[in-house]
Amino acid sequence: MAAALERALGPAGPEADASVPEAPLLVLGPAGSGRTALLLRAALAGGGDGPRALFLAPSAPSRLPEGGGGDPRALQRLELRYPPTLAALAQELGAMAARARPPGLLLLDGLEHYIQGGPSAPARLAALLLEASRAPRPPARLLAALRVPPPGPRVLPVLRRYFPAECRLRPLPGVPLRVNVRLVLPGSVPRGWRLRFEPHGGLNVTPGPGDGDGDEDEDGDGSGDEG
Amino acid sequence: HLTSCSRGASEGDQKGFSGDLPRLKFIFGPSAVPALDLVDQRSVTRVVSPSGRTAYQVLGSSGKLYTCYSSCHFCTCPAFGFTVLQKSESLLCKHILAVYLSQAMGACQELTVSEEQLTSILLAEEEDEG
Repeated sequence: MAAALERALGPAGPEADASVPEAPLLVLGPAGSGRTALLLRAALAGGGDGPRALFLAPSAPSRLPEGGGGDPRALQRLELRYPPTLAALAQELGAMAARARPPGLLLLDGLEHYIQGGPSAPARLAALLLEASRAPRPPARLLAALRVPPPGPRVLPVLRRYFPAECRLRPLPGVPLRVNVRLVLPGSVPRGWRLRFEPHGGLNVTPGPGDGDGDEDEDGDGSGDEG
Repeated sequence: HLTSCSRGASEGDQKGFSGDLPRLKFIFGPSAVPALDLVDQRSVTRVVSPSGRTAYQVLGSSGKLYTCYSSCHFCTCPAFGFTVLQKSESLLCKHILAVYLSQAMGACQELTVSEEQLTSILLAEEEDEG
């Protein structure tokens, strides 16, 4: 999934290395940081030649993206579904394996909405996603977004057991519509981009620093950065 | 039978478990012997749907049925939620270990269910203590 993100955002800063290991990826960011826009951009990366993508969220995004790279065929391979509950989400995920043409990309927005139940709820949700992504042959790549601060102190440590790769969005303080993105992959140097959300819905992406900016609480969970 | 063989055997049995019990205990700690007991009792069932999705159901020592996922470590038992996820004191619970051992030994029972039934099994609530 990290490769899809790199196709969506372009080459990262000079400290990036060439290899991009694929792993389930967790996108973290506060409200308004652009998690949904980033997921949709990753889904449409590759234009009309990219993989089929299934985008799941508790409700419809406020704005749908333009075709990837100006290619209207990109939207044709994107399927959007809005399961309102965990049970409905499980039904959608269960139906993936039975499809004649299962998606190659599985994207879930609004993880926090589906974390329901006891202390193991985040783990079960992550496990459901992994099961669904690995049931089709070949397996689908998985990307999920969580708004921070998360709904509980144990949510992020548990989710990180199942999502080895992480993408952190951090709005620049005092600078509207500007977000720093930091992609952390196991065994790789962190990579970075800078996003500028344009008023008409566009997104301008430039390479940025992959290292942290000294923020001890990037994930907004009230504790030190564990990444 | 399996547990007693593992404890007393000095020669390899047909599954090569001689000498493996100490290794299992070293790696998996107190879960090792209870997991072997579950395997002995043929407590692990592999559940399959028509599309090929799978899950495992393990009949626990308390008589409760727990669900273990195939593609990653998750179990609905209280020990997984507490000891593994919260305390990080263990890599896995005895039920997940029993699944691995049953797979290796070909000791799983098999059950075919519908897609809806498998989804319900995967959504099974975490069991409480007691």
